[in-house]
Amino acid sequence: MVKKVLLWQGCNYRKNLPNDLNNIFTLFNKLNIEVTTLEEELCCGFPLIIGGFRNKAKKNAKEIIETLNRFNLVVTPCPACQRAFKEFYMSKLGLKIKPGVVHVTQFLWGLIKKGKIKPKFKHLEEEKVMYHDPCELGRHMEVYEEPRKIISLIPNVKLYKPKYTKEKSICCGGGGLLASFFPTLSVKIAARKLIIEDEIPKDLKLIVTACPQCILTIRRAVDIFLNREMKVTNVSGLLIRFLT
Amino acid sequence: MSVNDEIYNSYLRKLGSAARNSSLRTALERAIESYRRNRDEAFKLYPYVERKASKLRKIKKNSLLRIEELIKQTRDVVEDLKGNFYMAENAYKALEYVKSVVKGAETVVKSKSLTMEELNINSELERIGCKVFETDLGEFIIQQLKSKPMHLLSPAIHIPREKVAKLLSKITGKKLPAEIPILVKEVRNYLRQKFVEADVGLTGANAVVAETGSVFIIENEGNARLVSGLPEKHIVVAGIEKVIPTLSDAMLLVEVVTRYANYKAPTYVSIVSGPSKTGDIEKKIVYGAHGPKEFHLVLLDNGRKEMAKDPVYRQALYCLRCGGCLYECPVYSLVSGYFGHVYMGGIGAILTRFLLGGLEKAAPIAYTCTLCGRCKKHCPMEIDVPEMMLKLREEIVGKGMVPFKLKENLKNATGVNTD
Repeated sequence: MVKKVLLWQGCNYRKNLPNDLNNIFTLFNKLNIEVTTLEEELCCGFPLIIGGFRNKAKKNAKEIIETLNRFNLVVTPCPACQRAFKEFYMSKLGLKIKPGVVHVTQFLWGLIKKGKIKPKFKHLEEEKVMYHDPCELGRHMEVYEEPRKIISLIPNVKLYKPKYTKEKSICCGGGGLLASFFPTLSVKIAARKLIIEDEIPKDLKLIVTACPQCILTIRRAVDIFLNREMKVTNVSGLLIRFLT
Repeated sequence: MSVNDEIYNSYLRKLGSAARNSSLRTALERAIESYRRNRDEAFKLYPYVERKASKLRKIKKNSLLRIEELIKQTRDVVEDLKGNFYMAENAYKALEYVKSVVKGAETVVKSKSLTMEELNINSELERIGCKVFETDLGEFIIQQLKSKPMHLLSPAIHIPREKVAKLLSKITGKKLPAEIPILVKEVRNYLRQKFVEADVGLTGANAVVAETGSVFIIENEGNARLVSGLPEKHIVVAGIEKVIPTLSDAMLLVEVVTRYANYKAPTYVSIVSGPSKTGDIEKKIVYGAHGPKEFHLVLLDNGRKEMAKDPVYRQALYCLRCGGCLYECPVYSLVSGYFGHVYMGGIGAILTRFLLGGLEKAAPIAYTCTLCGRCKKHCPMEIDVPEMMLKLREEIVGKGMVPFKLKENLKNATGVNTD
């Protein structure tokens, strides 16, 4: 039986980060990973649920579940969508969803582990990279290892380990709708995190993370407060740079 | 603009200016760094503290589930000890009771208590002609500056030493240098006399023991000892959630709260059970020996019983006020207690809603939380602040108090009509 896999993209990627979303498609093409995407995606309801508008999330959720139930597996690059499907639909809306829902990094690591894909990497110059744990993916869904394992496969990529990681990692400030309620504060939190908590070293030029909201917030902080060269990307973005 | 948005805007202005305040930033970063260093040291020395914390969590939970029974037990024991017991339904009634005891007193000394903030006790006692002195150093500074406490345990966390020197120079009439030990000594000298003069001492409590009617007061400065020991009357005001069954439960609490508050051991734990007494002459018990002659325990409901009934909000009553979560909060780290009303931080939003300020004051705090959950990972009671916050936000939406801009943004981002 062919496993039908849906790549659920999420509003944040589709509307705000089309280039970063494209990283994922480029990667999947290069590695011959077949997934289906939907022409149209409704909002998963995560922002409504965490904003206190739980009742407004039900209508979309019911429609979405009907669609998702046609697939065997749902893969998403957005931890917020993932948590909505996996946790909130049941706990907040009382709705059950059939297929498993995994993050792109979990999906990729699963394929690598089973030997279904064998990415080959170029030996580029050594590069220091920091992985930022998104709160939604990490603390809330306890996915810590898969992104790190994938990154560690790349030769000459050295993972810089800040003082607080995994369940102790520090929020970028973009969560909980603060980015909408008080955007300036949210970006300042990201800047403080990078400078004071992470103590990012001078030769660090790349931050990798696994959440669109973190990418957006950290990028803004770099632009406004850091005054240095620093790229922020997702795990797929990192991988395609090093793939042969 | 609606009234609603005016409330949000004035809050956001304060928050914004706190985030731009560089001296606040310096003070906060120093405090966070030192807190974490001390806490890590304490945890290294006592690695079993996390296990003890989870044991305490069960005790707190079970106590709240049978709170009425424990309150009754406390009342019986305290009265048997010849102490006075008063169960106050709300802050107003608690205040009226305290006023009736304090009446006629000239000087009142007080040790730090957040619970008493719910009574707005300082201004109310001043209105009936009392002089009220905060005796915790940080609270004393805040009181004299007419400022606002910015941390549970270190209320003057945002005030640099230079400002303290200026203030104390004014009070004492001496020209004092900005040297911390000198400043501490000056406050000691100034307050010494107030302790002796005071007719009434007001304290809070870290724990109240139902079995023995004992009140536990944990501190480092030694002021609470004097407040609870020297004046003729000692009044304790404590929330009902402070009541736990036994003395050994309270000792466990002392251990846990101390370590999580970044101390290896508390300098002082005062255990007070009723008024002072002696039977040294002919074995006849006389009340009022060297310590207070009158002991009053005021247990405060003021919204707590309502909280205790709700399985989600109930957790907020497990809070030991160690203040650890604040040092780990990404928002507090930038703006200190401006992220809060009187009760601060994420958990502060919940406490504000029920105990002091209501939904109106809680709403802006609720939407400032990033829901990151880091506080929960560091909390000895594993209080799930994000979970409570979602519930609180639903209440805010239900009352139509959600910020207009947020509602519009959500509508645009989700394509769902949020009206």
